[in-house]
Amino acid sequence: MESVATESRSADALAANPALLLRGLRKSFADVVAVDGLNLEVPGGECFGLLGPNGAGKTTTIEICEGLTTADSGTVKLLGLDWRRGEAELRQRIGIQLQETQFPDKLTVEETIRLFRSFFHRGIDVEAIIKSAELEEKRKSRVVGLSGGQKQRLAMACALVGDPELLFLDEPTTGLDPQARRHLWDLVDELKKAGRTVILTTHYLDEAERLCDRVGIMDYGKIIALGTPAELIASVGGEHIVEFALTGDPDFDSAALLAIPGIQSHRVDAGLHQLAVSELHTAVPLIFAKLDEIGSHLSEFRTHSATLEDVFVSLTGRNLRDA
Amino acid sequence: MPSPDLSSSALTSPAASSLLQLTTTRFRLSLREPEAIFWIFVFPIILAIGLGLAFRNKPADVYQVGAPTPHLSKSLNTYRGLSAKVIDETSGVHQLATGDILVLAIETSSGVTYKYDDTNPDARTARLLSDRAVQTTAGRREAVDADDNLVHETGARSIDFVVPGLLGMNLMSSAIWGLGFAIVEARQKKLLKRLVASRTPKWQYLASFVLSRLVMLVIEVTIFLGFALIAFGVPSAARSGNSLSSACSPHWLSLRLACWSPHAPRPWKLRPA
Repeated sequence: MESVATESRSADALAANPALLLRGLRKSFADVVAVDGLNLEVPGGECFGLLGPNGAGKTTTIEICEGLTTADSGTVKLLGLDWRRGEAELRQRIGIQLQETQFPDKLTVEETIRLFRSFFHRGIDVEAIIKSAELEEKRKSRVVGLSGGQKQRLAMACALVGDPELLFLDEPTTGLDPQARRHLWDLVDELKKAGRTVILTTHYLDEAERLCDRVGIMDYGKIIALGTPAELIASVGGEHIVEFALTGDPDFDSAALLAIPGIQSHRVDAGLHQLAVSELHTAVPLIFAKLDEIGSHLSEFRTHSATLEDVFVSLTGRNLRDA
Repeated sequence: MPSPDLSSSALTSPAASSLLQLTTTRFRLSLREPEAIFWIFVFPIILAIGLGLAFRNKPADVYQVGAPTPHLSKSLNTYRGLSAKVIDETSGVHQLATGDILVLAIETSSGVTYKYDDTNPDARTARLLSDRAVQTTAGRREAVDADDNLVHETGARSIDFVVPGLLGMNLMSSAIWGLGFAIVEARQKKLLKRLVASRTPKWQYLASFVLSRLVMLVIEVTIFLGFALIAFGVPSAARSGNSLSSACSPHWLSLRLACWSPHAPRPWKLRPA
């Protein structure tokens, strides 16, 4: 996926001008602060994920970046340009997939893509983008007859048809089945390989871990954690999470467990004890022994590798999906 | 996941112009909406048929009258607008009451008496015609010779006025539903936002509605007026067809488009206050 525009931009130029630059971004709706002094820099060629619960300000942030919403204050620069002076050029150089777009039901896939292709001076051939989105068999099908996954791939095709240097994907896989999600992920992988900058919002943590080079976790309009998925997971203090529940005994003393080597932290959420553990194989037998010693009886016990969900829980004390 | 050739290319074909694509899209969407096809093309024709039949010109009325004697009945029947029957006075009065006859002519020693309801316009007309028939048969001569020259011109019938009215109503309603409703629906479905995100020129978006409506207008007017001309012989249909072709001529079309373009010079200026 080589674009003439991209070829002309050297690596030095990209380093000097980050693909996305946000400084002191603020946006309020009445008395609700949606974005609260956000600072962010995304270099060219990176896949950056904006994570957070519903209402965290992800979509507002991304719509400000897309030039669809005006910020109350702050600086927004995309590809070295801002929306006030460079809107015409920016629209030709970025691709956008909105959170919800219902294309006209009675248009066919090919007609829809051809319509969006006509808005860009340069772009990808309609036939090629249909093939890339794996919609060849549905080319003559009307939008109303497409599945959820096919509609999302059509939306992605419309976002890509202008051959964008910077692509915004707002919750691209929400509501899709696992197979359809994997199709979308493959498409994003192709873009990453082609060196495109991708900014995506999602509340699927596995999606962010799978696709994103770096992740920013948002809550209440602010980025509360920023780094690679591995860095953020490491910040929890343990690579593994041990979860267990006890029968009775609400006054369980966690100090005894924290004394076990390799256990980094302990918290209780809805009666479920969660331990961040670095050495699972040595810690688990000691946990069993300690619980037996203090006379507690297990009703539930499981382990899993630490995820971004655990990062969010450790930062906010809330689960991402419950927030 | 296949990796097709996604190399960038510039737009070269005129068919790829965004205004043309937007206009074609609008036109396709209109034609693919069965309800729109019914309301734009079929409904006005059904309405024209219904109203044409309801208000069609009928032959002149023949009034039912009665007389007790064959001689008087024969006199009444000499006039084409009257249909007289011999009936005795008692039955005649009863039929007057039930509306079966409008006038009962009774021969008296001094002449003829007409029984009728003067509050009924048809009965008053029947009375005048009955008297004229009786007097003429009796040998009355008119003071002034008078001839009838009947006029049945097309263009003066009810349907000749109904057709232009239906056409205007149809054009207005299809414009409201085809333009206003379509834009509101596009906004509700966030399609407008998506188009803004792709830098669709706003004037092109609106112009696409105007152009597709103009094409649709030619089709719907041609079909409706063609039907009116063939089915009812409405002469205004032929004249309207000529006016339409003038209105849609390239000159007028370019003037209308120029009015939409934000960069076009305005042929008018606001007068300073």
